[in-house]
Amino acid sequence: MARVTCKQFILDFLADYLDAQLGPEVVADLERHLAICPPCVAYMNTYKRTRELVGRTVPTEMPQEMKAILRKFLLEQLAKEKS
Amino acid sequence: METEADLQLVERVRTGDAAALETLMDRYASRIYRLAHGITRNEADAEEVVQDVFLTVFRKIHSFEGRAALGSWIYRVATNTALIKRRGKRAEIEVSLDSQLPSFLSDGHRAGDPAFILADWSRTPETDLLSRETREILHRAIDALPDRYRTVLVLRDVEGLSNEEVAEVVGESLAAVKSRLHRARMVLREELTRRLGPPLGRAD
Repeated sequence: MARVTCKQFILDFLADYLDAQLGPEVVADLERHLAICPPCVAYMNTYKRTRELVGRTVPTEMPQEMKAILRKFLLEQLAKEKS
Repeated sequence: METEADLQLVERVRTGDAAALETLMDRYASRIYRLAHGITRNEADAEEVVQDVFLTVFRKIHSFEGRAALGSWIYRVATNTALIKRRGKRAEIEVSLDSQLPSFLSDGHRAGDPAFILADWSRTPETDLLSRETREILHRAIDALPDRYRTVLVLRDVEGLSNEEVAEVVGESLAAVKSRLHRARMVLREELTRRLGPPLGRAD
């Protein structure tokens, strides 16, 4: 049973904790810390939310017209290279 | 990703099979575009990357030895092509991110204004978080990340590759990738918290 500081939680453990990559003893130590540390809970919640937002707002879909242009371009290139 | 089937597809495309090209495009074009746009941050470059990647796949498929999955190889080509395009556009000065990361007191507590330390905007309604303003903030913060940080962020948190897959694509150690990824997210979190968290103590 080890005491965890906020610095350790945030810098060393948080990412692996959220990815469920840590063993049960470490997890217990971290959750013991979270139980008494509102700032770390806030940090964890907002860190998680940041990841989700990145996943939702960053992806840019390929415009349909671009697909048509790409198809045409590739067919032309392939024809060129065959001849 | 079905490597065997995909390899056959590529061979068929090389012989001029338009239907095979269509299938290959269906499988990869959108994903490559999304990744390329995530890295280069502009449409024109992303379009060129997709074209370059497809051509490279057709030309170099014979040198693909099947050691890694085809999908991994394509991701690697796409990532490298996008980074080269990006590097050609801006002089990349590797900015130290340290000032944008959380700092800590000697007792291990986070340093800073108490309201900021406790700020938890994670329950803010979706409509607000996905508002144009918030998206702009996030986009600008992502643009400002050094390329290699944005790259791992896009590969992991947008494309959904595992940490191990990201490491394989960028050709670096798992530890280096995890560290960079975590730092990228921390920087973005700080920026979002500055903008979305409760107002700081002083009146502006």
